Amino acid sequence: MGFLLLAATVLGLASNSVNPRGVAVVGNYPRIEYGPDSAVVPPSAEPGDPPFITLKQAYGKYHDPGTIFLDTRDPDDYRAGHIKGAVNLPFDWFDDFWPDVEPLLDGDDEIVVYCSGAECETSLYEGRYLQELGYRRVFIFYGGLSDWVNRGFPADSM
Amino acid sequence: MISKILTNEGVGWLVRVSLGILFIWASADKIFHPGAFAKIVNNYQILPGELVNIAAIILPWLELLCGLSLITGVFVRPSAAWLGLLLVVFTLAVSINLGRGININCGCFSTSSHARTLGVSLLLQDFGMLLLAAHVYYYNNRFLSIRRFFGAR
Repeated sequence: MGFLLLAATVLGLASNSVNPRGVAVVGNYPRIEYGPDSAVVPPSAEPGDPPFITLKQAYGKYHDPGTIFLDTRDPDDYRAGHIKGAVNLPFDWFDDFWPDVEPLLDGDDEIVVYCSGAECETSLYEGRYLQELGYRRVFIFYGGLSDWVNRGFPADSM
Repeated sequence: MISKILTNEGVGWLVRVSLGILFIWASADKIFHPGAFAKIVNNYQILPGELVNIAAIILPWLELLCGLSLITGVFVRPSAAWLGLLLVVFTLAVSINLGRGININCGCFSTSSHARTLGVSLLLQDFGMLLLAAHVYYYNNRFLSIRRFFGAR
């Protein structure tokens, strides 16, 4: 058994060193703490609201190809920085942006809405509205961009 | 009847070679895309961040070598033992993340973002493959192996 492990180690390191897509041997990844997570339920939450998810849950869904992240903040804020891959659907300009965003949403997909963090509520309002429009798999990541960026998770700017 | 099937050399060969092919197939994409596979390993949130890349570098090669060994019929038992061990680890990792409610790509046969995600069917698949590995280990099938071809017993 030892021989196979040794051979795999040698071949793996050799192929990684010549592979243009190779990675550093020692990784550097942010860790998710499994203790108390981000505060997720705002005082203004009401029965029937879409489920509120934690940072841990949001990060899990982030890697699910069947999930789309919607940034509910204003376009200027979105341009300054957003969760990588998220689509901008500003709550205040919902009707203007909706025609471009609607084709991206499949009824079976999970939708995660977020805004800046605990100081904003547009994710809550937009989550409710999407639910009213008939989307049944909406989740509110109330920790928002601030929690996301604090943990060093993938973010992007334009 | 069942014991006859289990001990049949042809069946043993089929199980051994099928498992080998499955693991060679599983290794190929990961070997070419170590970065993408490392990201998937990290998503499981089980290994410390420092060990994620080295695991992503070695693991696919271990799968490939064990797969080739099974097909050629050399190092059959050590390879089956490794694959069995890997399958137990995979099953535990999937179970832990299902328990956490985290939905990530499994990284089983592809590093694509559209690959399969975790679920109970994946656990059943791993368990089925674990049975195949146990069969190969227990019966140590050498039918149509390189060793036999060269006259070794």
